[in-house]
Amino acid sequence: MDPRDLQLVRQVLAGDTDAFEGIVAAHSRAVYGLAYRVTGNAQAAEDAVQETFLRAFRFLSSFDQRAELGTWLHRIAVNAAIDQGRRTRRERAARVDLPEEGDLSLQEVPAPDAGPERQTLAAEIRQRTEAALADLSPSERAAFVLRHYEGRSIAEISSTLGKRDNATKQSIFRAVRKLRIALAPLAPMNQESLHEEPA
Amino acid sequence: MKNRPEMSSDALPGIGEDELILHYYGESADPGAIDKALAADAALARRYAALARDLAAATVATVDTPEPPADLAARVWRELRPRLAAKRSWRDRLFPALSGGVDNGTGWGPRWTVATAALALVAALGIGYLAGRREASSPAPETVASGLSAGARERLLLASVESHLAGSERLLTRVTNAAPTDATALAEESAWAEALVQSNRLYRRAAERSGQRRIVALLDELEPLLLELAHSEAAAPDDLANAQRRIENTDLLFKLRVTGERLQRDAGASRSTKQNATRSLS
Repeated sequence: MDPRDLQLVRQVLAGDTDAFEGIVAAHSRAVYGLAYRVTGNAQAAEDAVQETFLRAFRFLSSFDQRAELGTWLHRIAVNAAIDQGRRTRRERAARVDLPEEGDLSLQEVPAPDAGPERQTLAAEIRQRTEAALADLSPSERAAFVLRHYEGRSIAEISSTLGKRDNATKQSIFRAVRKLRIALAPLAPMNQESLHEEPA
Repeated sequence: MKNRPEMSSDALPGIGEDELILHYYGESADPGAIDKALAADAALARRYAALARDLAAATVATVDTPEPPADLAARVWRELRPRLAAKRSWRDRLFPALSGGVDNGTGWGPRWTVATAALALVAALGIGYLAGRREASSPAPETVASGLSAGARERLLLASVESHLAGSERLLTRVTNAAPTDATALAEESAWAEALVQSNRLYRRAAERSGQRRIVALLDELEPLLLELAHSEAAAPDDLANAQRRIENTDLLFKLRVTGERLQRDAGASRSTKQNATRSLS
C-alpha cells in the first residue's frame, strides 16, 4: 500500500478521526469519476462519494492493510454508486420531472439521419450510448462500465458486485445488446466513418 | 430490419453473440477456437466485425466524466465529519483503552457532542430549575444559580431543541431515502440514532420543566422511532421497510420540519425584540 495511505489508515484506526480527511482528499476525485460513470449523474455521483467514504470509515478495521486502499475504495464505490443509481431511478419514477442539470441519462436522442459529418456522428453515438446506458439497471450498467471502460475482468467485477461470474456475464451481455440496438440506426454511417476493425 | 445488429448465430451453432462478446473482451474460455472459426467463416467474421465496431464506437464516444467540483474533497469532508463521530461505538468512547482506541485529543466527536451538549444544557437548566424552586417563596429574581436569566434559559433550550429536531430530521430523511435493498442503511445509522435518543430524553425533560407542552409531545412521539432505529445494528430485511412506513404514517418528518421552522422564527423574533429593547434603553 502507498505509505501515505498506510500511515493515514493507521492513524484513523488509532482513533484520529481527522486523519480520515487525508484519505478523502487523496481518493475523492477517483471515486467521483467512477461513481459518475456508474450513475451517469453528477449529484448521484457526489452522493455516492459521501456514501463510499462513510462505509469505508465504518469498515476500515476490516481492511487488509497489505492491499491497496484505492482498490478497496473502488469496490465500495461501485456498490455505493449502484445504490445511488437505484435511488435516483426510484425518485425519478416517483415524480414526473425534467432532466436535471449535469444528468447524462435522459438526454434527447436525435434522429438517426441528423447529419453525415463525423463530428455529428460522434455526438450521436455518444448520446445513443448514454441513453442506452441510462436504460440499463444500475447493476447492469456497473458491470458494463467496469468491463468496457475500466477494463476490469469478469472475475474482479463479480467479486466487487458480489455476484457469480455467470450473472456478471449476463449483465454485460444484456448491456451490449441494448447498446447495439441503440447504435443500430447509425451502423451504416458508423461503418464508413470510424473504420474500426476487429483486433 | 436492415439496421438491426445481428444478434445470434443460427448458421453457426455454438458461437453466438455472447461468445463473441467474451472474445472481444479477452474473456473467452477458448480464444484459439474462436479465432479459428473467425478465420474459417466469413459470415461469423462479419458479425464479429460489426460487434467490435459498435463496442469501439461506444469507446470512442466514451461517456465523458466531468471534472468534479474543485472543492469536492472539502465538501465531502464537511458533510462527513459529523457523521463519522456517530460511527464510533459507545464502548469505544467510554472505554477507549478496552478497544485499543485513543481518541483525537478530546475523545468526543461532533456527533457524540449531540448528547453531551444536551447533557450540559440540561445540567445548566436543572440547576436553574432547582434554584428557581428554592426561591419561589421569595421575590423572584431574574437570574438563577446557573447565571442565566429565565429568558436566556428558554432561548437556549429552544435553540438546542431546534438543532436536535434538525438532526432527527436528517436521520429520518436518510432512512426514508434508503433503497429497500440497502440492508446496511439502518445498521449504519444506529449509533447516530442512539445519540439522538439520549439527547431526545434530556431535551424532553428540559422542555417539560419549561412548560413547553407541544415540544414535549413531539419528542414523545419521536422517541420510539429513534429507539427502533438505534436498535437496528442487526436489522432484518423488513425492518427498513417498516421504519419507512412508520415515518410516513406518522408524518413525523413534516412535524419535525414545521416545529423546527417555528422555533427558528420564535428565536428570530425573540432576538429582534431583545435588540429593540436594548436600543431603546441606550
